[in-house]
Amino acid sequence: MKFSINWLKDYVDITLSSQELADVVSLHSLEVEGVEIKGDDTYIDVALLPNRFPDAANYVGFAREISAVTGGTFKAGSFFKEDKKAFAHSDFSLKVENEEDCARYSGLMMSDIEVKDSPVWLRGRLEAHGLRSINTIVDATNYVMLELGQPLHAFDYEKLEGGIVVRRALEGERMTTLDNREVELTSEDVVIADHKQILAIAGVKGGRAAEITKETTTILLEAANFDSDRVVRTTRRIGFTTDASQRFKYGIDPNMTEVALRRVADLIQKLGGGKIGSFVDAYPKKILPKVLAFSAKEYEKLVGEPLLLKEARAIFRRLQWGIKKATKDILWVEVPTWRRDVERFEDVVEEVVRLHGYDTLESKTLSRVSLHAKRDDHPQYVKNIKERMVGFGFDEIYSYSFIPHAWNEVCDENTLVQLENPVSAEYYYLRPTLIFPLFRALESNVKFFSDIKMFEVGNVFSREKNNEDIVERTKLAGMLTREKGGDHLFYECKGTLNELFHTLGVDQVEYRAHEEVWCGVLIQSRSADIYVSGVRVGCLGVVSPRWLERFDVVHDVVAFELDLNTLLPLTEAERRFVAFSKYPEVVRDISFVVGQEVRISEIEKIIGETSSGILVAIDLFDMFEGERLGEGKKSLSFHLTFQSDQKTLTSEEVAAEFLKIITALQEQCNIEIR
Amino acid sequence: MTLQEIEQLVFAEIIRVTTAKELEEVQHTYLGRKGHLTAILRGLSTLSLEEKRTIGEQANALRVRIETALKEQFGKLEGKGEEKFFDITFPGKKVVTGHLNPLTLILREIEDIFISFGFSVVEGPEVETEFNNFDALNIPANHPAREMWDTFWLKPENQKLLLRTHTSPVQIRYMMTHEPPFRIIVPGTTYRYEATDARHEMQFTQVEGLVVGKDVTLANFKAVIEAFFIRLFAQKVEIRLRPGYFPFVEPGVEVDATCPRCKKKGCELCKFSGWLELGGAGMVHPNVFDAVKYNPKEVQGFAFGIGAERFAMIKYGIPDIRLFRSGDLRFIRQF
Ligand SMILES: [Zn+2]
Repeated sequence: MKFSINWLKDYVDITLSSQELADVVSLHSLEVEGVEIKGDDTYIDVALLPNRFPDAANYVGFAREISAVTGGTFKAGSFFKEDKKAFAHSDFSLKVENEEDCARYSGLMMSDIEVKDSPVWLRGRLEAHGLRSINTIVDATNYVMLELGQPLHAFDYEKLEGGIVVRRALEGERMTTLDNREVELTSEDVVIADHKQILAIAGVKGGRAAEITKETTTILLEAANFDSDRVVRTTRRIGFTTDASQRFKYGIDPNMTEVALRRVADLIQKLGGGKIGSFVDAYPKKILPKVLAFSAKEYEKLVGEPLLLKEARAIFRRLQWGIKKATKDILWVEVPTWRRDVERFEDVVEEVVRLHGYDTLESKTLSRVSLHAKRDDHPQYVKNIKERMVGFGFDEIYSYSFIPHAWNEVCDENTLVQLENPVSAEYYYLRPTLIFPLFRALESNVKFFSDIKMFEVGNVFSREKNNEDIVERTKLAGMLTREKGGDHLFYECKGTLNELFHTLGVDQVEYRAHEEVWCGVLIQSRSADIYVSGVRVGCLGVVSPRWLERFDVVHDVVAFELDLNTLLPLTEAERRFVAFSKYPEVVRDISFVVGQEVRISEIEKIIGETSSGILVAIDLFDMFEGERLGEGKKSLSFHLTFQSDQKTLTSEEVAAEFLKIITALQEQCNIEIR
Repeated sequence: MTLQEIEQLVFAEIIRVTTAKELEEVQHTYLGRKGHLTAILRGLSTLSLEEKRTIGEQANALRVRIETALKEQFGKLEGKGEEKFFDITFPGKKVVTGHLNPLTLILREIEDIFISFGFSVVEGPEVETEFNNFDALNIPANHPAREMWDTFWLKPENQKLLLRTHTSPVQIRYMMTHEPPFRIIVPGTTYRYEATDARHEMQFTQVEGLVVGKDVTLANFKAVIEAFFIRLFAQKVEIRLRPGYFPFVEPGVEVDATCPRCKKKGCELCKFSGWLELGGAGMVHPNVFDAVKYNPKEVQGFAFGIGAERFAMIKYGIPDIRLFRSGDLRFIRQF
């Protein structure tokens, strides 16, 4: 809320400059968002959060706060003096049907009113707060709302039929608001009515039925305290809010109704005369000030700094809080009812510490404790993986957790997690895989780079079929692309993953034929599911060109994704040393031609099963296909490494082993030695 | 070639050469397997005993002198020579490594500092219950304070699941399963239903801190946060606490630090105020302890929250928060 400094000066002495005032308010009271000079006045813009809106979102309340932080004299105290003589109670018919809807309803009649245009000073102040001047009566009610924070309403008394009833609207009951909106209400909405029709929507807006006009001579002024929840729900249903409804939303001190009525009557008299008539009040449960104990010792325990009780006493005086009782250690403070946010000891501590000043609070180092500070396993593991991926030449991406609505055509919509309130169709579901967002990054990067390796670690979300639970998992995904990448990209990606697995202490890795066609993104024949110790942890494969067309990507792309939640329990935190042999190794190369359809894994399996313990490594170092070899053939070359940990192998022993392997390969997959 | 002839020629040749390769040739000519001096030494066996002795001595003495001269000359020629022209200013061969996102970099810095202060790093899920994200944090349904967090809700509505608006729900999860004393920080992705611009994001990263014990005070918080900023910005920074409002703490404070760029003089970054708003904090509200079944009379502590992107923007001079999740390699490859 923006406060005029000139207006504030009506209620509190201010000797500081506007900027100095803004600074001191920021440090001790409320967040100041700006200071703005307009004409011959300066406005100070204060952020009012739900805790302080009820008491400080009005001139008198904020002036009280300024008085507390600057020590400037508070001049609006007379507003709060009860003066029973001013009001003669009446037997005017007032009925509040439901106490929970309306904690208090006060009304004041005034006769001999003359409705006029407002003077310039009044119009100026209202207009500076975005309120249009209507006439002296309406303007006075709005002015007092800004001044005291209590919304007020004026009815033309002559137009009322019978008395006032605060009741629920009938289902479908209609009314026309002062600004000519046709509103249809429900039995959940509270209204002010006479014995014939609705006069106003409680806490929101008045209606045309008892509108003040130039001819009005007798008025009923309303100051009430409506239930916050109910006002909020009504504004949601009817689709608009007002200054008054905002104030009810945050809550108001019920004791303000009488204060505000006295003040508005006084103002109306000053603006154009009028006689104060009878007063009606429905206030079944009077709110009394809370009394809370303040102990300097407990203050020190929480804040970490000693405080003298007399310093606290001075602060309570500045806040205009009373002291009900004082002992050697404890002050029993009376918290005024306008401070609805102060409910317990800790709240009182905040008042004292902020006014005492955070600037004088001395830092105290936390005591040393024997805690074993560390990252949890999961974040530590993610950290290690990221380190590795960067080492392998991958750039790290962060993407949004949302994917476009249009992508439901490639996923099973039943498994997607949908937002109740998406920001747009572009960000519609939660991502079920990191691959989709990576394509978005790919799309924007291929314009600038042809050689791309990137990865992301992040969470993905899905709804298990026939299960309401949302499953959230952490994944690692990556993508590689390069001009003329070809098949090599796949093997490069596989090699990267193998090295990653090795560093994670994972050895039992298998690449099996890809069973799940992963939303049609990968070419099935060029993709593999990855298994670790027999458990599927992810997949990798060549992305289908049809899918790439969507993103204007022309080069080959290989993608992979691993489920880190599955992988983590399968890793070994530490690797164990294996003693190396003292005896020399012997390497023999074997080159042969074999049918294209024979998998490398089959050949390795045959070699492995044939050899005795002295074959220690099989390493494919060359492969080619070509016309020279004949249709459907490929040439493979392996290094075979022989070694014993018992003795130096003789050339005869190696030759015998080598021959055994060749024979097995010839028999089982029909190789031709080259 | 006689010894005299050798002696006449060899030293002149050694001095004349300009490259190590040429010198090797000289060495080979005289001392090599078929070298002139070697031939004389091999021929000794055919001579008389007397000749064997005198010529042998002379030849060996000459050999030693030649070797010494060669050694000296090799030393002089070292590094010079027959190699091609070598340009050390030629650019180094590019080693291709990837780049961590600056968001990861800043999170590591933050985490490492807090680990050194005795904090553990813990995590929690991004999909949360309404209870953990709001109710348990003293933000009941229908409380106007709920509006301080624009929330993404998930379908179906009746499940009351949401994308966490802060990492504070991990406070609840942690306290429900651990006993004080402890010190933790919780980094993680959080969400706000709001329009994005250079300073606002619908998805961003928060680091929440929580310290609970018997006698943890606000003055302790001030010391921790002060030490943290000084470490992070690697310079003396002043801390300023102001009143702030977060329903899960009481008292609640806003935390400002002197602008590390202009050192309080005022600049674009701090909007010429000399101060930067860096987070919110406060003493854990007793209602939060009640929610996790701790006895508020026996334990107390502080909590704080800071935005990781904001720190990265300040430290690395990044002008737009949306760059972090742009996936733009022109951005990422700078780090
Ligand atoms: Zn600055």
